[in-house]
Amino acid sequence: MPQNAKRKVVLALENVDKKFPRTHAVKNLSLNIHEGEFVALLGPNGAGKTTLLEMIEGLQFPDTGRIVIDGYEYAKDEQKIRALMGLAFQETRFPEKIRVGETLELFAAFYGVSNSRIPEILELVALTEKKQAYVNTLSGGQRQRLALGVAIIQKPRILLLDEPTTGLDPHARREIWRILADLKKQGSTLLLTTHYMEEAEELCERIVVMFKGTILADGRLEDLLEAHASHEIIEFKLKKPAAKAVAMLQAMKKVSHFSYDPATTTGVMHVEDAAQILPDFLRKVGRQNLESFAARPLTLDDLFIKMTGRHLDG
Amino acid sequence: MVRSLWQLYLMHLREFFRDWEIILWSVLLPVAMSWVLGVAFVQRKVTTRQIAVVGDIQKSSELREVINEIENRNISRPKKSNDHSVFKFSFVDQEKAERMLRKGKIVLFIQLSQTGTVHFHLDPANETSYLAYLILSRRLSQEKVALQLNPITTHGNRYIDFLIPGLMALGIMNSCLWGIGYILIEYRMKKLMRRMIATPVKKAAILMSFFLSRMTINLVEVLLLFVFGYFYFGFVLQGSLLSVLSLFISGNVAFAGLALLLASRAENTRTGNGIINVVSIPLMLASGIFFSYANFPEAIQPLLQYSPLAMLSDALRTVFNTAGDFSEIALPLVVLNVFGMFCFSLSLKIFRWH
Repeated sequence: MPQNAKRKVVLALENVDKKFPRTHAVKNLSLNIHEGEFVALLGPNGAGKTTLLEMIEGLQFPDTGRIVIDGYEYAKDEQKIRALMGLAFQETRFPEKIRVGETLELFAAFYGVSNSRIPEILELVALTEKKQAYVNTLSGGQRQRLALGVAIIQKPRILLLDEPTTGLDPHARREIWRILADLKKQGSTLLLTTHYMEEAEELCERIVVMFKGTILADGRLEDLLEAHASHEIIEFKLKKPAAKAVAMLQAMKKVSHFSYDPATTTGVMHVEDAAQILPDFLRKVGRQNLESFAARPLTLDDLFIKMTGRHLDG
Repeated sequence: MVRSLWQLYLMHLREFFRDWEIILWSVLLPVAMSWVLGVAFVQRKVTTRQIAVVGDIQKSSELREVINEIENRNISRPKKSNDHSVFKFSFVDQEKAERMLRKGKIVLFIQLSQTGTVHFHLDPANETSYLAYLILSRRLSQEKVALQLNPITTHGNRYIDFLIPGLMALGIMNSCLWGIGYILIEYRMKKLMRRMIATPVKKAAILMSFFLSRMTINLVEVLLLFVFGYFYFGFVLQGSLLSVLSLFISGNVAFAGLALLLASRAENTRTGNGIINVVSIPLMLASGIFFSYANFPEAIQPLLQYSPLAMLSDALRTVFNTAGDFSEIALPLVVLNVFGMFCFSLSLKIFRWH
């Protein structure tokens, strides 16, 4: 990525390795995140995302390898790193009987930020009217926006968001995306984990797929899709099992991925151009045996399934 | 550090004082308990109190007159009383009187000395005995008789004087264990602790804020209990304010330390609930606050007296009810502080911050 080569690396993971008694959570992983980048870290449960995040957060320490954040390492400059990093976890629950404004004042004190920054934050996360409200009266989306407000109170150099929209309704999710898009314009750097493919696609120009402790894919969304030379997906269901037809489909040219489940008589094909192979497809299956047929553009989720054999949010 | 500490301190107080349920249970309950135990439990029916008289009653005409008068027309308790007691006197020798007292057959015995002084032998911790003493001594002093109280036990006086310092100690313990221990676990469970330590705030500030805010709340609670006791029961501080303050702080150190230790590992509040109960209930039962630990087997009695709660309540009792000097509470002060610091340093070694 040439445009990144010029930008400063704000988060560098160098050969980071972490073992637990039962699992090898992170295996010799290296990753550089540059200033201004919005990066989505994807992976199924157990991929090692949480361990990786906890190491970046300074809750866990790698067995071997280094983590360098804006030039600092935890061993020497823990306080400096904490001052420049903003965090929000999906599960954090702020004290219930404390007002929104008071919560922000508390964290402003932690970061040594003036209280005059608070109105700005409230504006940014659209909670100005809720300044006097107790945290326990906030909706899920409002709580998450408060968490985001807390995360950016000191204008962090790097923002670490762990599933910022999990459990929110689509409207509340869009609201969070809008705030993050604003931050992007201001030049923030973001590392985000998510179960939502569309979230990664919407917000992040760079996708890192993690699986079994290693990085399976890393790049711009378009590049990832391009690299797999398939742009479209055909999903079909047959009326009755037809082993011969399926074998013929599998042998077709320009099919980069093929899977078929005889039990449900459904199949998935990754192809370059669905319209182009449609006539051939119909000839082989036979119109009368085709119960349903759908073609759609390839998404990250499809790639993810292809790479890991698992759904992202499963 | 100071600004963070102040904000954390404010947060704890806000959390506490905005929750009426918590205030009800933690601050007003001890006051209600002192009222229930101190007033509502006194007997309302007419009862006969047996009193033994030792010595030659003929030597004191005043005593004889008073006894006759009392026997002839029963007198009742001085003020605010529903208790109408009838006194019966029996004339016995000293040995018999002591035996009767031990068995609870009499509430006190009167001894007339060679010089004409009237000695009252009773257990002042026993409210009934103490009231009988008050009534009799009042009557006798009107007749200008020299009086002397000979306590059977060395400390304590009215039951309420015995009770209130115990409730204060119990309040401090419960408040620390639940207000620090339980809430620490809750913060850990809610990932709030994790979120806080991810900021540049000092861990010392977080812990200190728990200690200081809880001590403030405990001060309010103890003061409330004292003010209630003062106006309702005439409960007064006989020792020095410095002694009470140093005991109060030491008690907070001891139980804040214990709270931190109990909260150092638990990952959810259900576990925390169990841990706190397992520790606090035995401490409470063995503290001598509601009933004397003289009821426990003799072999373990010395141990019970050194439990932090018993130490604190005994020492508070001493300070409130006797005008002794500072040396009397030196041992409890040392034990409470050492205990607290020991728990504190042990818990720091094993504390789970996230």
